[in-house]
Amino acid sequence: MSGAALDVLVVDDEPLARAGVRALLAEQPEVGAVREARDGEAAVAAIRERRPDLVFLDVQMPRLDGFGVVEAVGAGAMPPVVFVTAYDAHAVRAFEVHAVDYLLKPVDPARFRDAFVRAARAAAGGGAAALRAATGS
Amino acid sequence: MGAHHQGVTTTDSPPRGAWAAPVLAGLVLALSAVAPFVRFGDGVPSVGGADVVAAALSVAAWAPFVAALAWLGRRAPGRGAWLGGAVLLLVAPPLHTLLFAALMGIVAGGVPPAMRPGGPVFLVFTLLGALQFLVVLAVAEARRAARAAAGLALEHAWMEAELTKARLDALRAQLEPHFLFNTLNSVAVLAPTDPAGAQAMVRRLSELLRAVLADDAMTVPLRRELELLEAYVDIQRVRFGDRLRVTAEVDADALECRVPTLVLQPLVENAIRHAVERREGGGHVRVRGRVDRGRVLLDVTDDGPDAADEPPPAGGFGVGLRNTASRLGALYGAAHALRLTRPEQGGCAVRLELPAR
Repeated sequence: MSGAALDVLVVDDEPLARAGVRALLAEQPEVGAVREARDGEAAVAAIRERRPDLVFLDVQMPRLDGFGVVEAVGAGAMPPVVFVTAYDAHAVRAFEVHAVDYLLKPVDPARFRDAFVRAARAAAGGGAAALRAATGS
Repeated sequence: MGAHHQGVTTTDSPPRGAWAAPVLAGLVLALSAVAPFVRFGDGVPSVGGADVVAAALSVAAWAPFVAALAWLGRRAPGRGAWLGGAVLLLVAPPLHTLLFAALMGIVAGGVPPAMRPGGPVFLVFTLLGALQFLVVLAVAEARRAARAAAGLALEHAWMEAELTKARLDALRAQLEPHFLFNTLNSVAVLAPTDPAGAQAMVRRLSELLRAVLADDAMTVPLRRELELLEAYVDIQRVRFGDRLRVTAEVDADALECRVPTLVLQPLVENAIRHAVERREGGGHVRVRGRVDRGRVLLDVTDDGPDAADEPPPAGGFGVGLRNTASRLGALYGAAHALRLTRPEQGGCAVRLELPAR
């Protein structure tokens, strides 16, 4: 994995949860800028304007939730996304919208690293190449 | 019942020791089948080859009657099996002796006169047959009873599982899994940078869990409920920052009234979502409690955006309040009221009315 450092967007309505993902991202050498969004609307705006390379997206947020964000941006325009959620009730739906991975809070650092590497490969490859990269090779 | 906890596993395999009755009964039957053929020449018991063949024929002649008994057991469980067993007990022994005599006649080339119906040997064999058939009946009954007991144990286990599920549902209604795991996540995030904060959060969460998991967890005095609300608000304050302000004013006579455990939590959470989370400046959630004509009145109001700024949630209640409404319905039926209103001056108001107990 070489090339430019990755721009990452962290979306969660809880400051502490964002800080948690930020701390895990600080461990990843490939990460460049990290931005935060505190709700769904802010996330949609940030994705449209800033075009981050990958997104860590909380599922449960007031008003516009994680799935709402993917829908609003459009699956085609959506950067690789890793869902992060507190309660395992959305995994199937997450993969239906082609999430790269699905993490449960509190997040295990090794598991986070796996998800990050997959997402980074998807960001590097784009589209079908990303899928192949994410599934191995 | 010992099988209580293994109810599910005991049904497919018979209970331990179930082999003993059939094996012992088989031994009794084999010995009693051979006994009439034992000869006492010179005071020493002996059994000839032909005698063993006769004993084997005697046992084989039982086959149709045991089959009939098994068929009865399947076709007519319970009282019907008892009646059929009694009829078989009367009919089977003489028929068995007849069959046995016929088989002996085929093997030995003729039925000896003593074995013809009414002859002395015929009577002895019929009596012996009745005793043997009683043993078979006893074994069949023991197996039936064992199966019934296993079925009962399964039913017990099933009912216990249902009860556990109901308790778990109640638990979920009180302490939402999202809240629980988000709080644990906050503890994990705080642990390296703010150990004291993480510890405080674990203590507050423990307080809530203890209240919810207590044996008499259905209701608590309002005084206790307010303490639990404080623990909940402390946790939310750490999760969402300092923007959160919650105050409670409760009349003294209302403090001892019993209310559902953690009933205020979803109401306050609703207010927090409405008034605090979406505003930079935070918000103020106010809890008021009083007793009026035998009713406890609990009001949770917030200073969130005006009603005009945003429509009320579809169906009146969000998920949290819907769960609360169904929980209150289960506990109080029509004796409670839960209303969500949008006051003129803005914000959001929820009123809960309960019988004062």
